[in-house]
Amino acid sequence: MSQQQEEQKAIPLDKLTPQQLLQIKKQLEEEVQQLTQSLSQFRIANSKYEESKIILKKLDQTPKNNDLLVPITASLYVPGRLINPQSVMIDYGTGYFVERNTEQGSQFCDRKLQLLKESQDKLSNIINQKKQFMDKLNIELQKRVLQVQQIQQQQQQQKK
Amino acid sequence: MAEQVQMLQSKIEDESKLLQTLQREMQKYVEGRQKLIEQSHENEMVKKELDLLEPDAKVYKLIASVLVQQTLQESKENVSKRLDFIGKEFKKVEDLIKENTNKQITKKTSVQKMQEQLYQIVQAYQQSLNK
Repeated sequence: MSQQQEEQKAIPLDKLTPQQLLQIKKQLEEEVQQLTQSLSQFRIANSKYEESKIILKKLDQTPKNNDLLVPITASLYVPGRLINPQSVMIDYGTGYFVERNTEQGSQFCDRKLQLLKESQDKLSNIINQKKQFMDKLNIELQKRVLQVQQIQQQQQQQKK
Repeated sequence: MAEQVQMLQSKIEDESKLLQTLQREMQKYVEGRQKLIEQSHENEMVKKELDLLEPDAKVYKLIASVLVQQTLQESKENVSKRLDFIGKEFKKVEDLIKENTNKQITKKTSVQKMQEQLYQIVQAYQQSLNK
């Protein structure tokens, strides 16, 4: 399918005016920027899940009845005790939460990380394709500039 | 001639306004469709995770700041129902989008025709003046 797309766009490339080429280039640049932003959001989500895994490991090592402070509001903490360091509550999405132990929680994070990696790879591919197409456009634009320069040189020579 | 021109111009204006309303409608439909896709993805993921759970796993549902315990069975059914509902809504929106596209095409062709008519009338009048 991408070859078809390339052919569809390659054929009219020669016939497009420089303005149209510039327009397409602008559009592509905006798209690439948006997609790169999404890619960085993916990286943020990645690091959050990795952090959760580290915290889960630490929880495993925390002894029972450990003293802790529980946040009630953003500025109010209440002293408490860690009753069950093994049990964690996982937000599955759409309002569902499941009580699991730290091992299962870590596996959950792994699965999510896997999904994220797959989506990130797809996104990187698309960004690369668009960048390649932009390079082609730039080459085409340079050709036009050279053509115009050649014509101008010829005209100057004729005047002599 | 002047009457004809005025009539055509006001018709073109009316049809163009209708076209604009159609386009705004279309935008809403497309936004709604996008939301449905997102919701469907999220629910699919939850369904997959729920399927991995053992039957006695403790599942809670967030109902207005309160976590209420549910059975795994109930939750799975709930998520399936939601997915079905989203599927139906999605189909509805797709049909509406199709209808809207067709209506836009008919409107655009009719506006184009009227503009051509207008052009021809003005041309004919100018030619008659030149004679």
